[in-house]
Amino acid sequence: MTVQRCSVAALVVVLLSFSALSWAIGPRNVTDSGRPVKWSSQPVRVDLESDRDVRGKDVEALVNAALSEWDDVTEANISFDLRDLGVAVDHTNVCDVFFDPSACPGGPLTDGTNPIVIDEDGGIVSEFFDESSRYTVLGFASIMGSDPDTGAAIKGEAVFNAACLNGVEILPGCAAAGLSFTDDDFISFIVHEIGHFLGLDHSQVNLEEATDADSGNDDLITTMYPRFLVGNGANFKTPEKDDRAGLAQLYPASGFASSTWSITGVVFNASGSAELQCANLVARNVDDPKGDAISALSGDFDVPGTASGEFVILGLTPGETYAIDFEPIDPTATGASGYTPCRGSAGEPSPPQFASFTSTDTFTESAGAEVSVDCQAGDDCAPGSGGSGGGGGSSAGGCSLMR
Amino acid sequence: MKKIRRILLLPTLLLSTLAVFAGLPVHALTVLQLNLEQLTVLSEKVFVGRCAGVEADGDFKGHKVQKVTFEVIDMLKGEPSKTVTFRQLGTVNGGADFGMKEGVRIQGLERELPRYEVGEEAVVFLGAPGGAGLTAPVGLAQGKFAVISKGDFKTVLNGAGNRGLFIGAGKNSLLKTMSVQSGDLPYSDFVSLVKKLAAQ
Repeated sequence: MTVQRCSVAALVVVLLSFSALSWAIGPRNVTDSGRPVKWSSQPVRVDLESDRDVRGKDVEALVNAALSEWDDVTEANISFDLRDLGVAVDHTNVCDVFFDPSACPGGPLTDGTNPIVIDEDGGIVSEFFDESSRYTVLGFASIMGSDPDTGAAIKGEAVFNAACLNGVEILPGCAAAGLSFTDDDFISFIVHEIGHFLGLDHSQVNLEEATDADSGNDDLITTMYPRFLVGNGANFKTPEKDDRAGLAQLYPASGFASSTWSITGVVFNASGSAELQCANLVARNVDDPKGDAISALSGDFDVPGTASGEFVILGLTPGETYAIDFEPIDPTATGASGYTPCRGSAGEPSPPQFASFTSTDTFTESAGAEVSVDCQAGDDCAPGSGGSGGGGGSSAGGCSLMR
Repeated sequence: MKKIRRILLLPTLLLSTLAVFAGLPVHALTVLQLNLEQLTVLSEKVFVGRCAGVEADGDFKGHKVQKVTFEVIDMLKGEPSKTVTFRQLGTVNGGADFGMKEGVRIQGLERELPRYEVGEEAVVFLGAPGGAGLTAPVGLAQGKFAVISKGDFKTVLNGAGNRGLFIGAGKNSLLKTMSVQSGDLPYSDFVSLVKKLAAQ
């Protein structure tokens, strides 16, 4: 593998102006200049609607449990300021507290609240989608408004559908159709949606386990995997290593960078003629390839359709040895279930497809180091010329325009 | 790996694409992954049809609505009819759902609703309409299967790549008759299985 790099001052200026790094999991949204959309200060304010009673069941404890899953991630610095929204919300007044460009265009955008709403009967989902989705769309969340320059979040919103919550199902059809979900299931999709509320994108680490018919390995599915399996809530609710690294990417705890190491690099297409955006790279510990696995999506801090292959895999354990899986994004993961910037909708291209492989080389480093690795579709991943690490596959010297 | 001079290529491409794309943010939603039995049970109608029309049909509380008509080839569940017409919310409006308001970068809810093209053949698992007369395939993209012809052989594939259709097969012995994880399914076997599930 020979990738020639050279530093040209003028071009550095251009690149620093229009590009940025891409990190583990990646952000759900970035600004046009490549800044992640995220909350700029801690704790993050959330305003839970006043009606926490779902047909006799108090769900506030479930919401608290979900928030704690992210709060407990030691690699990240995230905390919540849970407040009372001061109003009970249903489909008749949701636009008094929500903003949405089409559903609630007159709703509040800069009022300082970040409402979390429990959709007791699926009525809000039915309003935002249609009646047929009342029991199958379990929730949605996002940072709805942000500063266009800094990416600082201004308005966040979340809806959680409790129509088929086990024991208090709104109609027998929930159970008859196998739609009833447990408290753990409910907590788990709150955790997932709050992940988006915090700015996280999806993760497909351990895709095979997520899509096979073996429920015995579902504990390996990441929390930010885009599809939900009823009955897997107890596993799904707890963030996996990839989820935790993704959160730490946006909100790193002090000492995160110095206590872990990272792999940085560039992905090229099969011909080597251009960088390749939206290749999924997963660093897997050779001794624990499913449990200790952290991903990055190439070019996910750049605008869609850019020939940008930059990636950084963060949060690797010092002294452990990792191989890199190089794989395409699941082609069926598009739209809201997709991966920015290749969701195949709303102006984004579909994820490129190519053959998967595992790197011939393995990589290991000490705390605080950065190893440079470049990858080419259809070929291999091998030590690159950048990075600050001194061993384990990195090479000293060279120059990188991007780092 | 072949040599590449990325310093020449990247800026050109970046600058050219920046003029076309803006970072388009998106809502995220959790949709239940449904197996084939659930899709069938939750549907009011299941049919094989050829799309005969897609047209704008006003709006519902600010949402664009489209009227979709299928000529029915085979009704798998529900009362037989020659055509099925339903009203569904429009798909993502990339122009209206993203942008700026009061100096804030805003974004909208992406609904993952299926899209339709006149002439296409599909198997549609259609939910019952609500009070406003709107409906959509059950499970959104999961409830519309494209019929793909490869010579004389036909296959079906839904918007989720057929993932999860047979998970939970232990609850229904019929699902065990097709045990694929994902990917194209033989049309004739699929239709036969749906008819059996609908008859249960």
